[in-house]
Amino acid sequence: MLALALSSAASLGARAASIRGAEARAIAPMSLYHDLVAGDGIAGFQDGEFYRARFRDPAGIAVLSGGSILVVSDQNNNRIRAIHLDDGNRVETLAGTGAGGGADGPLRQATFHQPGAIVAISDHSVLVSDEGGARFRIVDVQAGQVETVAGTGERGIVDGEALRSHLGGVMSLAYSRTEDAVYFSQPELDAVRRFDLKTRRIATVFVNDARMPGPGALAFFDGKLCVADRNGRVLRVEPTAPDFTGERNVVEVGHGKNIRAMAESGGQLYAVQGGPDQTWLVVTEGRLWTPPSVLAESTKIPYLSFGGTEQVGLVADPRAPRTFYVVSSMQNEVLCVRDYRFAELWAKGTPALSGLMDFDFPAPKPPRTFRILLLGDSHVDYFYEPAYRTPEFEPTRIEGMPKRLELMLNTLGAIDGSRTRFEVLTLTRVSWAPLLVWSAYEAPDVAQKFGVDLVLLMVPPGGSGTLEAYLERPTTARGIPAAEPDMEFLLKPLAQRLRNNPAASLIARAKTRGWVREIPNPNANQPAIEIDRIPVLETDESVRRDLLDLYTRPVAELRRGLEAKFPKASGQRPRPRFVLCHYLLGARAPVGGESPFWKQVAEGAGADYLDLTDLFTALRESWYPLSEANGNDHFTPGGHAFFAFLLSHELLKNGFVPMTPAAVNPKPATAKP
Amino acid sequence: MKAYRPATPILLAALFAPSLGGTEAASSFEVAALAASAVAAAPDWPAWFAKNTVVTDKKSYVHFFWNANDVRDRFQGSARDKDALLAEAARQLIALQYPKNATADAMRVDVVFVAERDEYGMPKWDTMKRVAHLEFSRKTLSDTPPNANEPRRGFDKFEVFP
Repeated sequence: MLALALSSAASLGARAASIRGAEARAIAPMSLYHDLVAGDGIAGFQDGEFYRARFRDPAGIAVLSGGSILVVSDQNNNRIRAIHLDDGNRVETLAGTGAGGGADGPLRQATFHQPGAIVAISDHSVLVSDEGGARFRIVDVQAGQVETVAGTGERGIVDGEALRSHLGGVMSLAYSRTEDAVYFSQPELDAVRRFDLKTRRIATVFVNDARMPGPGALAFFDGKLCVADRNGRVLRVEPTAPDFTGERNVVEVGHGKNIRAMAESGGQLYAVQGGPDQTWLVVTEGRLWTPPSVLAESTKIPYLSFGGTEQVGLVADPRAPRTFYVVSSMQNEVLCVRDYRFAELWAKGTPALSGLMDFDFPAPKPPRTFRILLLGDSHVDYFYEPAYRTPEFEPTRIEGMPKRLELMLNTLGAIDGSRTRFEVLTLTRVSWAPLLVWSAYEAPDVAQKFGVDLVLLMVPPGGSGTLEAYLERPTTARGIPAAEPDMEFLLKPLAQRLRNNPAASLIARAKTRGWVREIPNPNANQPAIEIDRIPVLETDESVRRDLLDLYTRPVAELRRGLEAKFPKASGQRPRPRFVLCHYLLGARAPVGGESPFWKQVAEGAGADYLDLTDLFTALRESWYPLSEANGNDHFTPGGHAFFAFLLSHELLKNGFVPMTPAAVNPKPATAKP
Repeated sequence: MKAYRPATPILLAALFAPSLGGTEAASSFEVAALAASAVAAAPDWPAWFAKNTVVTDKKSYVHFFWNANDVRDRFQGSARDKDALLAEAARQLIALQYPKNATADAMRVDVVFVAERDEYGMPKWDTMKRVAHLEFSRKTLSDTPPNANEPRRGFDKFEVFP
């Protein structure tokens, strides 16, 4: 029903878009950490594609239809606009002819006069403060009607029957579902009032109350009305319910500066602040946050700021925790921003609470999202570069390969018109933790928790300490090294450690061939065992078989772990695809030649195989320098970008991530004879 | 209340000074105060253990592994001094690092020197030299703590490697 009503204007919008000349292309809206939802930033009026749509001083925003439709009060276009989030963010006019006025009636015949604050009062209707007319209007998409429900047009504070009340100067609206009432603030009049939608009466809740001078932004948090006052204090009103006849208490729950709008999400109350101070505030945590500015290389550059008196609309995405849509009267765009604790997790090497070496992704997967769990050692996401690392200009997580991969996949998806968004969740350990071993233990749980769609095991040359793990840790009943180091085991002589150890035959064979040496060390009790990484390249068939067995075991264990966490029974989440990806390091002459070995490991373990070594070899000189010159072959930031570029291309080319291959790799045009 | 009565207060003040809670800590501080002027630096056990210990709850016993290489010069004294240092290290390990959820009374402590670290600070196990292996009951060591004259008192096993 709702879709039918909204679609009536769709064709009009599409036709209007073509007026601007060049045919629009199917660019999909990007959805990463801070994104354009709609608007080209130029004041005007235009429906159609999200990147061509125009608004004129949008002042309020609300969500309908379970989160699939954003409704924007387009203040100086005198219109109410809709953005279809499940349809490429297509913009259409929902109500209003564009002429200023207060005419009720069918959506497309109604007129508005500078609509401002807006709030959803059901899944198919919004209440708008039609500021120029000092009235409240209800826009009911299902009924296809606009109705004036409060206000005579006079400005001020007169309570009672809604249609005889005085309104005007309304900054913020907050809807209580349990009360079926809308609270609204009039900061210039020092008032918070309540509009009961059942009785259609308006009553003053606070007026000229010294406890909250200049009440402005409103929001419900944990079922209680919260009010931001002129001094930046955020006060919880207790009780909120209208049947309370005595004194209302207010409790300060947080403090900010010049709060312009508030919204609840993920169990916290968020605020947008105006002026030169940091825009974003988590009121209930006392925490400033900032979107990560993915293309800026420092958090010092603010992503967005608002003027001190700007009318700002903020609404939480009901389908994705800690995700917000925002508009303001001074920017003619609708934006989406997320809070994944970017500031706290900006520095590399800081694990999130989830254990990910990444931003703080919420466990529930947002709609249309394809999640990649990227497993690797430090080469995957670390870089150092002492000259580059200064207190003012620190290397950041956003510059590592996984976040660059995420950016590239989403960018390619947008260009391709794909509706899938990508999240790359990074789980890395430095290489003294054996990659193939820890990932076998840790990855299945993480994949299940976050609903991962693709597990990428990124294996550098040498396999990152796997063979050493067999010598340093006891073997479990599953035939792989234990999850954690066992120091008592490590203290035992090598001969004892090799008893019932799957590595015993390999070590014995390699010793007889002189490939494993024991190097006496006068400072140590035991000789050092030189196994290094030479055996991986060994061509001796029996040694190679042993090596393949040892390296395949933990990878197969990871695959079995995924199968256990994602059973194939009907109704379960689809099992993630599991890919072993072998790559080279960034040194000028990286050691290669291991591809056949890792391909066999992947095949033996039941994983798909992706080989980046040819691309590394062919292209690395042109991207020089890929690695830092400190002997560890960690990539430079440019090397990470190179790595991400190759990987994103290969993931798409091989169909490991969902996108329309024809659009990404279009067929060459047929040559005309 | 049990108090230490060290025969060699200067050394033992350095060993027993900081960080233990409760009555024994008080007595240690008393000793430390008596000899403070003569001691260059009292052991900072939490700092000594930081990033140098691995504690594993083996259920039937708890295993403590301490790489003491950063303070190996402290092991240069007489055999008795070394015994006293090891005994106090065992007490401190239990006091500071006994796992919250562990229940075992049996304790095993291995003290080693790992001479080299890699560029990230990770010990190179190939350069590991065993220093001592101790086994004891947590309760016994609490009830019958070692003293300066009998640093091995209360231990079931007290092996010091050359």
